[in-house]
Amino acid sequence: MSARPAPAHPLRGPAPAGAATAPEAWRRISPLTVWADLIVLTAVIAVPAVLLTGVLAFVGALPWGLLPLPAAVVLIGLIMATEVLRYRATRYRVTAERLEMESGVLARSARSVPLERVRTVDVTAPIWARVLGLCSVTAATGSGGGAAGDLVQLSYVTADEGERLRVRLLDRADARSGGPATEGGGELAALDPAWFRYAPLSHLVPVLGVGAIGGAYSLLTWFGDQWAAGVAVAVYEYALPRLALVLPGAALVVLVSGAVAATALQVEAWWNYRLSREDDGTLRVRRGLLTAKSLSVQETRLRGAELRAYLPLRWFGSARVAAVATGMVGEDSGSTAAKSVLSPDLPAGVAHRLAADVLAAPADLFTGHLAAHPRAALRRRVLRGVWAAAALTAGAVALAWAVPAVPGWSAAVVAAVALPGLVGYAVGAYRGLGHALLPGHLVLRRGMAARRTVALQREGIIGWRVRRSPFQRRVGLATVGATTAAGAGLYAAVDVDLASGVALAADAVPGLLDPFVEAA
Amino acid sequence: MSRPLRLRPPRHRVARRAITWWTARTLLLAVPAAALPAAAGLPAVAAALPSAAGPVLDPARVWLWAAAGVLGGVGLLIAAVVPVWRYRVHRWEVTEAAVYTSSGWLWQEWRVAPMSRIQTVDTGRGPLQRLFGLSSVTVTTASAAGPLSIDGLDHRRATALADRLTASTEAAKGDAT
Repeated sequence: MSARPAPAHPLRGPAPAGAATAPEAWRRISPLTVWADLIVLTAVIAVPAVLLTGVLAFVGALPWGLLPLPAAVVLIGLIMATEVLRYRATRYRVTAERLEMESGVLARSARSVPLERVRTVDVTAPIWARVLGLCSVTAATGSGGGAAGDLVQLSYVTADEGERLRVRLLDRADARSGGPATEGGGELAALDPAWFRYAPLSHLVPVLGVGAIGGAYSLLTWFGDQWAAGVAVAVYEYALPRLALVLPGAALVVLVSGAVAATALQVEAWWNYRLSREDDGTLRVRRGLLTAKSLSVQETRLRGAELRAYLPLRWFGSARVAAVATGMVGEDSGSTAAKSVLSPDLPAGVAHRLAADVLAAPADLFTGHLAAHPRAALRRRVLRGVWAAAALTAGAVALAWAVPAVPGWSAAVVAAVALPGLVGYAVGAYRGLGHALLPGHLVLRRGMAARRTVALQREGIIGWRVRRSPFQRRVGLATVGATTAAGAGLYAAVDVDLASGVALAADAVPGLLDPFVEAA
Repeated sequence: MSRPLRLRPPRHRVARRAITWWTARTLLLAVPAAALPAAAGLPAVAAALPSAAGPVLDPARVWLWAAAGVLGGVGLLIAAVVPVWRYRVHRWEVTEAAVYTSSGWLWQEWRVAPMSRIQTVDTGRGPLQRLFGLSSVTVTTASAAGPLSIDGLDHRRATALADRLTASTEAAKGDAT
């Protein structure tokens, strides 16, 4: 079912005369869109309404209990009517230079995005659209300056049309010529279900566990707030006299339900995962069980790749791969940050190879030796850990002094736990520091709980920022950061020796720093 | 690394008047910050308040004066020391190929951006800068790491510099990413 050219626009009359010479006429989104909406509306409105009526009939509240049914029908009818209008009012086309879209029933909007600014194309098929063979297409332009940029979203078009748009929107001469390896097309990675073994070990498990319990409670409130509150109070009264038994049990419940939730989410997100290099100079990620997603990134937008290893998964030898690409903003803006992730949690060896493959770089890009940072960097971190432990202990002492119920020895416990813990963290943070300069890439590593190793293309470095705090100046350290148009915008070698850090920067981008440096 | 190197300071200082500007900027904050609690602690004000019963050693008033003293002292210290310190650190240089700046006082920062990667060049002047005939030149690149900024330039010099930078960056090709 391909999208037919719309012969005449419902609000604007026939397409402009220029359309005859234009390479493509206006197109409509798929008429099946309305049916996909009907599926969603049935699920979120009609089914609950029927359930509610059933409950009301059960408690004998008829005939008023029948009211939800006509109400649901009217509501669905109204929404469907506006969806039909929206469908009729939406049209789009891809000309030689631009993606154009007109939409809006009451307030008309016309958007026109130059194709050369389209950086990522996202094809998503939620389950209700997939059964009808539909998908939504989102083109992101990610204009500079940190803004998320413009999004143009078409929901829904047929799967064939989605594929045509994906190729068409990113198919440009500049993308082909600049791509690192046109001959190296094909699959870079495909899902190994064994990778899901990492999901129950994610740092998100406790959060998800608490969330699952919260979700169970809100399910209870379906039967009435008072009833749910009664259950909560009963649990509380049961638990209070048996804390020694209940606390470990509760922790276990949280962890187990969190592990189940984490695994389910991971499977939903990464099922059918494939990462491939397409012939049109794009990297393409396909994944998703219920909602099938496809994200395409132009390789010319790629400035590097990043390995992310979070505790405790790092202890089990796992890491994930992310892209450092322009038009994909850094950590701060959730949706684009999520899009830059190119893989699920992988065994570290697989992740190392994949990240190197993504950059079409030698396989040892992420496995080579990284230069350690000076001992002064270790001293700074350990000292910070000691200070933090001292502050925590002082706080515990003050608490024990102010609140008679808190025993004096609790401060000693705090000190005994905090000092080794924080010093251990400091040592780990120091061991996480490293840098290396390779023929095509600058590799920087940092972090303890979230350890990130980034390989930046040296050609993608668009400036330098050297920072020194008073403490760093005293011990001869500096933080040398490479600025780039991609990802977080700044990737830094933290606490390097000033002289070798400046030399690193001068060598990484030949010529740029030469006029401004002198022999130390 | 192969050869130990260090960054030499950029060639040019900012205008000497920038010291006066930074001092004025600090005082503009510090004087009201100190004057407010001091004024609240004045006997006349205290007397106007119904609860101010005690004589000179009313504890609330002592605290207010102490706060005024601390705020005023710290403000004066910053106003006396930091602007001169900044003047020693803040420097800039523009070559055919790149812009090079240094700034800060306790925390110091050196930035380099190649001419070919510059996206926009702006000059800006607040009311206080205008009073001293100063301007800031802001140079943005495609990076989210923020712009390079040269504060406290003589106004005419800043305009000339911005013109020169604009001309050089227009000559460069590409989208600077």
